[in-house]
Amino acid sequence: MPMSGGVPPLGRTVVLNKPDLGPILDRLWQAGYTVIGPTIAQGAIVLDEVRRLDQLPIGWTDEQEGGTYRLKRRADGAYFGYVVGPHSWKKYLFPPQLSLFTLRRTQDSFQVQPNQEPVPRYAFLGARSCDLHAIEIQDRTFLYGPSVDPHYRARREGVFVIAVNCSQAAPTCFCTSMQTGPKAERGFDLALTELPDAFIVEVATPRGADLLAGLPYREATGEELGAAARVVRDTAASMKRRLDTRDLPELLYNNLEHPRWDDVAKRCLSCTNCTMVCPTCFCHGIEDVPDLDGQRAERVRLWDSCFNPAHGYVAGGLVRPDIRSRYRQWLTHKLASWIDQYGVSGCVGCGRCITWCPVGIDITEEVAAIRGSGGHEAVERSGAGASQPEGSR
Amino acid sequence: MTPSDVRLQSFPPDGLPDPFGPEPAVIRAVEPETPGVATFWLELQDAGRQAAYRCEPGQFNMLLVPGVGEVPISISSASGEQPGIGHTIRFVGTVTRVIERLRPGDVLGLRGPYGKGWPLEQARGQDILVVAGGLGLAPLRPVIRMLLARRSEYGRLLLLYGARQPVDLLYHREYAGWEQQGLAMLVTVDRADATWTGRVGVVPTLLGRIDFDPTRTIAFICGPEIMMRFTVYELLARRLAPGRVFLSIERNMQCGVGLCGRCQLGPYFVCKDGPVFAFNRIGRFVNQEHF
Amino acid sequence: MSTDVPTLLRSLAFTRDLESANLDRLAEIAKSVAWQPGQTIFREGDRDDFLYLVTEGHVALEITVPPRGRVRILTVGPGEVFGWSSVYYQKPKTAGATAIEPTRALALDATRLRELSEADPRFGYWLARRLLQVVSERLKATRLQLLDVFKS
Repeated sequence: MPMSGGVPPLGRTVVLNKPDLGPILDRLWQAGYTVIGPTIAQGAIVLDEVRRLDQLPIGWTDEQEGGTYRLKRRADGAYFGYVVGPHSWKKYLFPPQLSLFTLRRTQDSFQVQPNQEPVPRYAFLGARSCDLHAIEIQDRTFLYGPSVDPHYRARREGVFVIAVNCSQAAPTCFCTSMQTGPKAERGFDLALTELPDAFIVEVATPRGADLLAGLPYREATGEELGAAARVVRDTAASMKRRLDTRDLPELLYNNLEHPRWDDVAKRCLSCTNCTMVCPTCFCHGIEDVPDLDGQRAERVRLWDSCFNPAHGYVAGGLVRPDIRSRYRQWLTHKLASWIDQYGVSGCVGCGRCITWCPVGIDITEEVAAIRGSGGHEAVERSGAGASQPEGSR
Repeated sequence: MTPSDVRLQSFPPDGLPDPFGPEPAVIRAVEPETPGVATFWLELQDAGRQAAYRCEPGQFNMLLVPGVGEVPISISSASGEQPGIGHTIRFVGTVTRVIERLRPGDVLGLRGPYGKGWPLEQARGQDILVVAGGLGLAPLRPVIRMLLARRSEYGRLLLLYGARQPVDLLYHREYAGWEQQGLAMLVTVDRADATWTGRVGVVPTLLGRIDFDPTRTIAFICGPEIMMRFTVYELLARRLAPGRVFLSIERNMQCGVGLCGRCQLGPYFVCKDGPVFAFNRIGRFVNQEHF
Repeated sequence: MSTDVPTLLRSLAFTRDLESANLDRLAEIAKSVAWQPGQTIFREGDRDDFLYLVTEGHVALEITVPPRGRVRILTVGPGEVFGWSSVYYQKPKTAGATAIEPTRALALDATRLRELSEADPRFGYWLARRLLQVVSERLKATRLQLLDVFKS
């Protein structure tokens, strides 16, 4: 039954011709959104403003492995035939550099002038399930933690999300282990599954429905729904990497002196790449930028990394003076203390830290090595035909 | 349009104060303490805010020198003490070296108080053993004042305090008054010449000279991490339960409100979960090298 | 405070677990001694043949370091011990001892302690264990001093 012309009912799944994503983009810009989506720059699929469909990496894919990333032409014209790149949405919600406020000297005091720059209203096009989980995880830090960060709040509040269910997994992906994908379950207005010649669209919110009003969509047939379900099922089944999450906090806390930390410390360059590409890492510093006449000083927030020696500086020295202790901090925070702090793991299995590590350090392999000789017996899981990573048993 | 429907809980309201925003605070007095250390007494410039300012012993403030930077400083005064909010500062870093040059009337940025302080309620009716090393007496000074203000509500009050040299002993003008009000004190220094007639030896050696009842004693410890570690070893060996031993931990606190991630100690953010912790909660992490 | 040697001896933590017969033997070789503030007990380089158990006051152990003068290494107070090396070695003292307050102590004859230890190895073991505890506490304290933990 055709539904075209009106507003689709909530919770329905409809079929949309691929080029009709174009009018959706236009409508979002017209409604005042800054639309961010995947696009090609500097040899990678990054996130940036997207105004036209031809800015999307249509017909491109990415090849990823530990320490390797390469773009390649696809045989078909898929719109979203690739996985996640070096950027994540956190750079929009939690900008790498943000002026918090300016202190202006007055006669006998100073005034705090809030940053007056308007906060963009973002629409995220093409957000993957792992990244939606990552946003939820950062929400716990910045919105539902001990205090609310008003800067994050202002950016996060009105975000419009068009999710894309992954139609393929990179060899670095392990969202099935983290239970964060590949199908987007929540946190979006619309979710697309790409079939060879159409998008199957889940309509999750009234504003998502409004966006489709008047477009030539139609209700999905049972066959089309089945095809969409198969796309994510096949993606899940093809996932090669695994991370065994059983008792992870205790496993890591009980193995803080495991020899594997020395081993990884020899390979790790402490370059901070993993923390920069990680969609959940939130450590930051606040610095003062004075102007030359001494009348004004800006307080600027900058991303920091636990791989920077000064991250743990205290008067008289560094809390974590070597790479071993810094890598251990990162891994135990991500997979153990994060759970103590926020009730969820800090890892969504997106694999970015593996791809973008210049020496290809693999978080799943490090955990498996510790588990393999950490006194916790690894139990083989009946995973959907997936092979165990090296050293995991 | 309504916001995206999935929320962990209701979206926090708009218009909350910026947790990073400082308030202007005037330096009312500067009291030299020991070489390289002075106490800065600050008052929020807004009289209403100053009147409403409350803090618990063991909490800290973030002090900001505009254009230079911000540092966490423990509050060394009790709530409502005159002439303001006391901060005993050692001039060792970029920011504190600038603070060193400031004088009464100058203005700093202040935000706080932050963190969880010493468990004075839990300590009611107990014997209190305070062990301090060097500048570690600063966050314990308000504890001592509050214990003495409610002297009858506590059992024995004993302070063991050590510093590097006799000239480094903080607040020595106050010792006689504390002792008069019912605090027993043992003071020691690490090194001294023959003009010093007090004790010589590191703080933990004082533990050998005292008796305490482990079933009714609570220990509050603050000082360099090694000094605290050795003190804890000794207290535990003498059967004080780890849950009765409290330490104030130093980490890199930058935001003060559990957001920036830099003061982590295992599962804890020292700025909001501490800086005071019971040893049974942090022993496993604080004794872990470089963790 | 009583100056009766057996009573004083029994009041010290040092002898807390010593049986009565041995306490009596210790009392026989102990004498009560007292010093005024500033009084030298022994000097670095002296031969002194006593183990001192402090009952009142404070004693400073010092080493002379030219040109700094006398450096105070440690002070010893009630219940604590100094002069322990005399029990095992007949060597010149490596630190001087000075009373810094009106001080009383029990001085145990080190030669007699050695004789008692050799005649009764169980007593000898008790004494060695007690003194080893003293030495290990000193070592720990010295390590912390060496670390100079308050240095900024």
